[in-house]
Amino acid sequence: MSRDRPDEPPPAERRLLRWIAELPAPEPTRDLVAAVVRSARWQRSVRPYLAAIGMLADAAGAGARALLERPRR
Amino acid sequence: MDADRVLVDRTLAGELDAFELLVLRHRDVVFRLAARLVGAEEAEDVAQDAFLRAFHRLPGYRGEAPFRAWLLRIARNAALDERARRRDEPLDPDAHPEPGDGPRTPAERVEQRERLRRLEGKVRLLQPSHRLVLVLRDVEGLSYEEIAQVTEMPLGSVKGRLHRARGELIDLLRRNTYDWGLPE
Repeated sequence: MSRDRPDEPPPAERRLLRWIAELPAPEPTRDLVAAVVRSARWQRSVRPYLAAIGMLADAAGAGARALLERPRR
Repeated sequence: MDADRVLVDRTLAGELDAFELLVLRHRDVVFRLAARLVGAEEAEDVAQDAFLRAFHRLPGYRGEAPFRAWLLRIARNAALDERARRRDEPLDPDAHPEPGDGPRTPAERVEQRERLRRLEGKVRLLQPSHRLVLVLRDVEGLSYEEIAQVTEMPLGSVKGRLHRARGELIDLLRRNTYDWGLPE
């Protein structure tokens, strides 16, 4: 972790920083890496289908708008 | 080229193993940031959400900021979205796990645990913008430049925000029953 050269903080801040340094680091309880990679793999496999569905929906929407906006006789 | 950039390029070329390594490299800092911003009980979901958002946005990563800062910005946004989703839910400082102990007498260990539990609760009561800067700097040890990249604030504003965040936390602690030894 990188640190800048700290400006000298006032005494209360220095004391506060000592307390903060004692805070325990929370840790994940389940295997976060496996869960993320599993989801990424699944989402990557369905992404082309979702994109195709999105394009179809866009086309259907454009068609519907064209019909609705057609001047009526 | 730095290691993250290499892994990003390999991920973009279709290697999911490279993305796994990216997650492994940054899992702890993303989880800790999420835990400090939304609480430990929601942090895993927020961290997972952040990594998946990053995965889908990788083609847009230009490398202008270090990968860690780019990722932490996504994690911050995921945490803000989670907080907005449950805005009306009260904060529960007691939901944090018990902190660890140093080599002290049993009575001192109990008091130290209680103090740190209260300190965690007070950090969670800070204004969100103050909490973010304080966690990034004083807990995670990021540089001012990185904090500016994560928060999208001008570099010159980061120190002022940090000073106000510490001041808010000091005020909260002074109102606490414990004597935190914080001089005026």
